[in-house]
Amino acid sequence: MKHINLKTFKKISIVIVIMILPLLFMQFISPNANLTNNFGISDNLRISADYAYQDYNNVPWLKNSGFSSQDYWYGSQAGGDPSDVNESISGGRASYDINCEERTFSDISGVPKNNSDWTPMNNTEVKFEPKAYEINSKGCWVYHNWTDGADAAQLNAIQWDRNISLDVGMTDYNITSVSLSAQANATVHANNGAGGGIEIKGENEGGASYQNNTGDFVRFYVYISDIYKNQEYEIAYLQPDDLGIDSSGTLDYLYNTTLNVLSDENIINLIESVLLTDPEHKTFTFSIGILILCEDDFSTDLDIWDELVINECNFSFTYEKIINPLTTISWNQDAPKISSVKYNETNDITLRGASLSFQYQISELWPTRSPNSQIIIFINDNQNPITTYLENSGTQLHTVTLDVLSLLSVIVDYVNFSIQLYIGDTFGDNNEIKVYLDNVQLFISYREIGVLPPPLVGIDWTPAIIALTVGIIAAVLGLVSYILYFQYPPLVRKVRALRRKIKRSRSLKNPVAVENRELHIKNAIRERLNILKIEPGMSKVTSPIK
Amino acid sequence: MPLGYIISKWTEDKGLVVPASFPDNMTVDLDDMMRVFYAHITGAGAEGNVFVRLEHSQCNVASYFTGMDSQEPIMINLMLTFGEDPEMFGESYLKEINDEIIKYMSELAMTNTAQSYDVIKKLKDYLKLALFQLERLKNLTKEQRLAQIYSSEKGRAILEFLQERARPRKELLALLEDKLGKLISSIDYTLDPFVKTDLVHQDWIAGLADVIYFLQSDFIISRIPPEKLISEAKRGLPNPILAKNYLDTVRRYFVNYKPTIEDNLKVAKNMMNPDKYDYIVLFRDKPYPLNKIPKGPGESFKFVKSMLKSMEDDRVIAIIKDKKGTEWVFLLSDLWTDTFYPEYMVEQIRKDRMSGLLKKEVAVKHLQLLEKEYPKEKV
Repeated sequence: MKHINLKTFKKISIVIVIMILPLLFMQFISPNANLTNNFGISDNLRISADYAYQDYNNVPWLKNSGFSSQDYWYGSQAGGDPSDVNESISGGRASYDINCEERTFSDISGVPKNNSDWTPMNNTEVKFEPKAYEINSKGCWVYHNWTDGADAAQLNAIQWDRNISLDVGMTDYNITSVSLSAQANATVHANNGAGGGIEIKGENEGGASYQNNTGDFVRFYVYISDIYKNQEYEIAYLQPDDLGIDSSGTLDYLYNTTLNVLSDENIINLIESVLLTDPEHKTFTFSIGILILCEDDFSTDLDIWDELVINECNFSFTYEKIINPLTTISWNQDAPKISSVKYNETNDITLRGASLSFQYQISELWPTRSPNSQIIIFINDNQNPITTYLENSGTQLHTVTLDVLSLLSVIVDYVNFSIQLYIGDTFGDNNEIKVYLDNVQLFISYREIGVLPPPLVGIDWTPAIIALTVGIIAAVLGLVSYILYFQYPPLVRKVRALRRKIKRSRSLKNPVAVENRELHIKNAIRERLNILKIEPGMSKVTSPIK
Repeated sequence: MPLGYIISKWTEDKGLVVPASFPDNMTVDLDDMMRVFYAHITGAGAEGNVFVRLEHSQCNVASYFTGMDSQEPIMINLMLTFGEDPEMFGESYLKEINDEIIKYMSELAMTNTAQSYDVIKKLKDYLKLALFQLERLKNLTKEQRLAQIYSSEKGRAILEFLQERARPRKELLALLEDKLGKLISSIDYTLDPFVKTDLVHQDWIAGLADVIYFLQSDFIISRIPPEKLISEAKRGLPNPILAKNYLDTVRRYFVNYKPTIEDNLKVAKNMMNPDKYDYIVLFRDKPYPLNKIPKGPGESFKFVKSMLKSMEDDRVIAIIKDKKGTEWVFLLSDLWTDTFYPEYMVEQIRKDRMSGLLKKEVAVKHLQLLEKEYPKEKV
């Protein structure tokens, strides 16, 4: 059998005492003690032997308040635009999803490329085309000359059309911004001797036959139109008034110059206008073009447009989904009937209180354009007069508590609960917005009058809790005293006590009882001599010093 | 490792001459040797030890001088590397070697030229053996280190001072110089075995300029009955008659045994001698017939016998004859060292603190160490 020494025995004893101590206190627990008001149920009051009433306080009436699943909850929409909102449950909470989105059109940028995107077309108001045109590495390029007598057409134009088809019909979208820029350059014969070259307005080559009115000119332009060209609007242009001036010499140049552009607001209006003509509100035409007028100035007039180029065009716009006012979306639950809690079919139920609490949180700041959006509570189609406005809610979690007794004041034997998001204003945003809901609780307090079960009898845990608390405190004290004191051997306790005294500058008058050095040595040698059963003949212990 | 021995003597006509050295090729710069000599003769030129650092020769020397008054002033120089110190070997053991060398030198003085060759050869053999033993002394067991502390006058004095209270290094040095009546350049090597055997803990305390030495363990050195041999003798081993004789011998010895400083020094000296210590360890296990004692490499039977004789004189072993007249070597007294927890220091600290001899921080630190060092097996 394994030998247990005294020290080990002491340690084991201390641990056992520590463990037993709380159990000793458990004896004070009375298993027959009455317990009242547990789970919000009060004492029932017995009026007669079989007639009484009982109050039930704050009984949770909704199931699955924490949205751990879809169970018991169903979503519904009414009014406004159903495509604006959705409902979902995930991650232990429900949400209203507001389908905000922002889209961008930006397909036109830089030097126009010679590809199938661009189609050369006649200007709807000009019959004739310049003598040469193409899209090349420089961009939209035109060459033209006009000789009096040889060429009839004095007004020529060519444009390149591009049909733009958006991903979505724009009836439910707003264009929020637009950006347009275009740039052109040109080289022309300004003065070519007998032919005169380009004569700008006001130049006079002399002679009575000279007929300068508008002068020769070129106009670079950008149009938007519906695809049938019923509506066509110029949204940018450039018509230099001194290109070809005689004083330039043989050639005159227009260096890269940007076209004049309408205001963003006007362009947005015009885009929306042309989109309206499309039944789907998705398609319109964007055109860039060059128009040339060669005036018949005199009989030998020769105008040479060496190179007219639109070498850059950038067009983009963003549009966001319109969230429509009066849109609503709800989470609903058909809660238990009031009668379902009756103990006896003939009993009466009187509602005494109803309170609602829920938590909500918005994924991002609520748009300021929609200050009237709010969360509204309905019970049995009765709207709670106090609503929760979402503006200024920030992104933190909010807890809302409401008294909703008035909604249940007319007793009907059902409880249809609905928590609704109401969109109060038109707005849009670049991202989807989620309004999260959690811990939606409806607490109902009621009194049941009639035939009731005998009074609830249970275990009153209060003495047990007190006893346990005392026991735990005692156990902790025991453990602490073990850690601080009893775990150390007696001599170490003396060392620690002396150290504390010195540290705190306390009195050191009392000697510490310790084994004297000489005695220790004598005992140690005596122990060794025991093997011979003799006592050491030590008249003087001198090992090693003292 | 010690580099070698150079034995020199002072003569009126030739000055400083070197009659023997080992190894043979060992040389020392003359200026360095004169420095050592001057270190000895400065003042009264009396007998004594000096420890000198030789810059030219790039080594240390522990030198013993017989004194200008002696018949033939001899200087025995133990050449050491820079990291070595004579304290590492113990002053008593070095003295033993020096005494032996002086014997050879006296013999040499009395021989003619033809005979001197043999004496010098014997001296060189002895120096070789001594160097080998010194090298062994660098790797001592814990009980040997305790014996080393005890065998050293400085060691005993330091232990005595630290048994009173924790002390700063400078104070310890001053007390030591005062007690021994001589200048001491360093106590580091003397303290080394204290630290290595965990007797002493050195530490700094905030606010105090010097390192403090705390005694955290004490030790006993003594003789005790050889436990295993006695147990076996009680069982009649190696044979009943020998066993009875042995038990009687041991009992007789210990009945009259009185531990004294002188006897304890004998104990320490025997433990410090590597050859003797090896035999003590051997005899702890069992007795041996004299003619069957294992010999170490290079040891002659004569050498072993002379060593055993010395141990017998010191009452370490006893030679007992059996029925057939065979001599058996038994360990008569086991040489024993044992460390113990210095319980008495607790009360000492209280008294010193109360009388103001000990600073509060030092007292607290010492008690902390004592708490930490309390032997786990006692918990």
